[in-house]
Amino acid sequence: MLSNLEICMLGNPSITLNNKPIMGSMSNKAAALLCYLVLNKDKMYSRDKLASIFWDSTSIETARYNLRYTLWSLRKILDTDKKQIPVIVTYKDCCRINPDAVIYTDIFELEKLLEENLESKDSDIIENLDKAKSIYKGEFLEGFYINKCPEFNDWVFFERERLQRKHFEVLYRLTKLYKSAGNYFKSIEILNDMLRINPLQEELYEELIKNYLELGDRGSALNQYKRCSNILRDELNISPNESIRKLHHDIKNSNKYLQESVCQPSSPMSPSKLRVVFIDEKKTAKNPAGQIQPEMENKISIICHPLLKISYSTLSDCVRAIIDNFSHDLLRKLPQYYWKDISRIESSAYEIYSADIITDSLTPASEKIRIFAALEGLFNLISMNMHFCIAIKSLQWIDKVSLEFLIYYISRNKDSCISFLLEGRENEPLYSDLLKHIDAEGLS
Amino acid sequence: MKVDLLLYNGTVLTIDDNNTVVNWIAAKDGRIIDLGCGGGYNQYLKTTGEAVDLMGKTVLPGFYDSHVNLVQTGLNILSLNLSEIRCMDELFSIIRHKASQLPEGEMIRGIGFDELKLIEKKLPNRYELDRCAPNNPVWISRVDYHTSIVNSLALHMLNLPFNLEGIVRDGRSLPNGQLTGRASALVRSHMLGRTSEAEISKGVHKALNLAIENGITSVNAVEGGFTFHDKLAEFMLENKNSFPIDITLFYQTVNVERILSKGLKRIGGTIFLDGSFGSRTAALAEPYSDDSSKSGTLYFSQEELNSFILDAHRNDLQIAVHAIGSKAIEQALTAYEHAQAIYPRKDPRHRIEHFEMPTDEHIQRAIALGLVASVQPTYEYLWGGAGKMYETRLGEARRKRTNPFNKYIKAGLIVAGGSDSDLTPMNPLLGIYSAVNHPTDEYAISVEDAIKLFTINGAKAVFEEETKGSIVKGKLADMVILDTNPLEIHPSKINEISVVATIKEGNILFVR
Repeated sequence: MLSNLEICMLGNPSITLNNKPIMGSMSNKAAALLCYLVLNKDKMYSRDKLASIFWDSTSIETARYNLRYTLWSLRKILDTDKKQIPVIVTYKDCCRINPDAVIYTDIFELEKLLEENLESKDSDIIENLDKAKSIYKGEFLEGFYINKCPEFNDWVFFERERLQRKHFEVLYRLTKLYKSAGNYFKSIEILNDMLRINPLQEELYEELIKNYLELGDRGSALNQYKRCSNILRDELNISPNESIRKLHHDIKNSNKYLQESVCQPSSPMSPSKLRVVFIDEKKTAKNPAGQIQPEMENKISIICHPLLKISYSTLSDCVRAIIDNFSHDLLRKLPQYYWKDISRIESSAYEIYSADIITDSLTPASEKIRIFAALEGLFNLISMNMHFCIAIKSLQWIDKVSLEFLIYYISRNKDSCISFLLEGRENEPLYSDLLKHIDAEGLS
Repeated sequence: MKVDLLLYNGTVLTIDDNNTVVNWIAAKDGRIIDLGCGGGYNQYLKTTGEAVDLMGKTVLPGFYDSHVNLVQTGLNILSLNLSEIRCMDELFSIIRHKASQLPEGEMIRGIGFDELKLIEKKLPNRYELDRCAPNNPVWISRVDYHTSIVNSLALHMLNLPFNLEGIVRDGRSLPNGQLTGRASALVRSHMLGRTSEAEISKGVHKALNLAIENGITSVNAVEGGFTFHDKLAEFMLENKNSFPIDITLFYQTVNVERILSKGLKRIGGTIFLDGSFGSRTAALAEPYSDDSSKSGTLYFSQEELNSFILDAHRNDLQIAVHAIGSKAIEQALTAYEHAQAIYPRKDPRHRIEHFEMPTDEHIQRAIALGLVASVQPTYEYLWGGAGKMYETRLGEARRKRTNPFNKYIKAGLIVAGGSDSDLTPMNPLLGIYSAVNHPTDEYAISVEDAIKLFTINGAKAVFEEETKGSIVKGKLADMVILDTNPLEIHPSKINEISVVATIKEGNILFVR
């Protein structure tokens, strides 16, 4: 008759016999001895050797006695039925795990899966690796430490590292396989699991960035770079390695990634011409999960604030978001005289426009005309090759000049590829003209 | 009128705009409501809550310490100080003794360990530490905080990822307990992260008591980030209103969003643009005198720094960065100028911490930017002068150019004084003494100016000059009573002056 002994050593260890937990009824040393013998089930150990591993600091006689007692107590717990095959077989001078005993351990299962993987078809590999991933519930014998047993503890360190290495290999292969299968979300999830183990491993951030780029999510790719830079700076006071820095530089200064993502023909929400959507903020507040927002990846969001009804403030925020999110190489295609006028309302324009600070003095009306023309140019530039969404929240707090510009732009650029997503209070007189105009022009 | 506190019959150095000296002060509801000379205090004497006859003692505004690693100072007070260890046996004996006093499982933390001071000139390994403390995790920090040594129990608890750079291994390829680089950083982060709130609180209160005993009523605490832990900054943030003296937190991170989400007004502190003279990592224009292969390290590229400073500056934060060598100071100034050019702000009062080796041009640029130089005069006392560390590292000519306080003040730079505790003692009187007795005579400053470093200039460094930093009607009644007037004692004796009492908002917190 076979016993049903299960030993899980990955994560907090547990030992069950016929589905009953038995670890509580044995000493830590007995559990440690059992784990050690089971993982080395093919080896025969001399009693003196085991005694020295587990009772290193005591005299050999005492150590032998302790081992004898521990083996006896283990047999008492494990071999409850005399008809069963004993789990541990002992001889005068040595002992070992009974080769006929059937013992389940998570580690053997993990290793079996990884061996099978070598011979599996590609389609089965992911399934096997996923199983292997789920078996690894934590570090080898986590939280299990025996005082004054240096040889045993060193063995734990050694096994822990060996198994962690295998686990990392599993995770790494999974991310690669998921990525090549186009399942970027799953690949990202696993990379994040790996980062939880070692948050300072730069190449994982690089992979994350690449996955997000494959998804066409430039913003998240940039955020991963920021996450990597912040943690390296906070923990090690270093910059990301050159390879990630170069990747980041390429993303920031090239429009390639943006265009690739936006120009995907499969994007169902990509409008073919200017579109304006107004949303009552009460509805979104009640049902935030079901917001009627186009799932556009290339979107900038601006929030109007009640205390910031200063002329141009919403437009200024908008320009800053464009400068932060668009390639500066692209933005430099806008004529410098336009940037000069934009710098009248947003000082970060000097990141693009490097000429002198403006000293001329215009009347408010002519200044407005020049700024509107420059912003129109900017909006048309960024939407020239791609659809783009500008989301403005709390529209009731928009300043009058910014509102005026929206009407100006919408009336003059019906073929622009920009979508305006406006969210605000319903029936607000401030923008009733704008909404009427949108309805009349059939832009909503 | 009834007042809460009356100090009379003393010498009150108000440190107001005219350096007025008076004899008595009356405080009510935490503020100074009256002060003067002669017998004017008699009107309050009978009705005051507490009257203190100063008997000729001297009153100054409560001191500022503008740069303190407060939690670290506190935790270090609670740690084993290993800085004086001279041999391995001594180390083992101290750890064994500590372990015998602690319950099993409680961490033993050693600080200041320097193997170069040991006869054996080597670090211990985990087996050696196991023998001293088998039942307690042991974590020893090297003096530079960049190397850790742990015993097996601590290593077991840490669960370090195998692929971490910096795990030193023995002949069997097993970790030997010594950790450098990334591994040490992660260990430090794990260990500080494991430190209980109760222990942090105990440490902080010990550090605060030390501050109060030294007459400090306002501290700029630089917490979190590299070599520290964000948990320590979070602790300060959560408890900032429960401390007996004022704590202004500088959260050391480059993550501007995190700072904004916490509603903080300032960012940084020890954001290391370079290192230190001691470790030859302060970024110099010319190589070190005692190692011509080294001229220091810049930890940021100019582009990275510009981007961080601009982001923080544009979000209306006050910024503080660490820059010691002239190349790091150049980098900091360039980044601040870049931010101001793109987004001009009136009086952002950004800071450069340490600012030890600027050129004359740097000083002018710092003034044009309205920067605060947050300096530590005690550095000069400990390491400046002939034959000391600065001279070893920099040579005689360059050590005579460090910390030119007098130049700063004459040029009109705002200079705030701090200790950089736990690196130097949290003791403003020692700071004042060090600034007045600068080893390079031409950079020594007057006692009045030195006092300003730790009072009104400290207040200016955190926009508090309207409420604190001098003894003026309407300001908070934060004061320190000294046994001797620093203006009347020989400059070489200033460090012998004692703090007799510390008063925060009219409450006497400490009496010697």
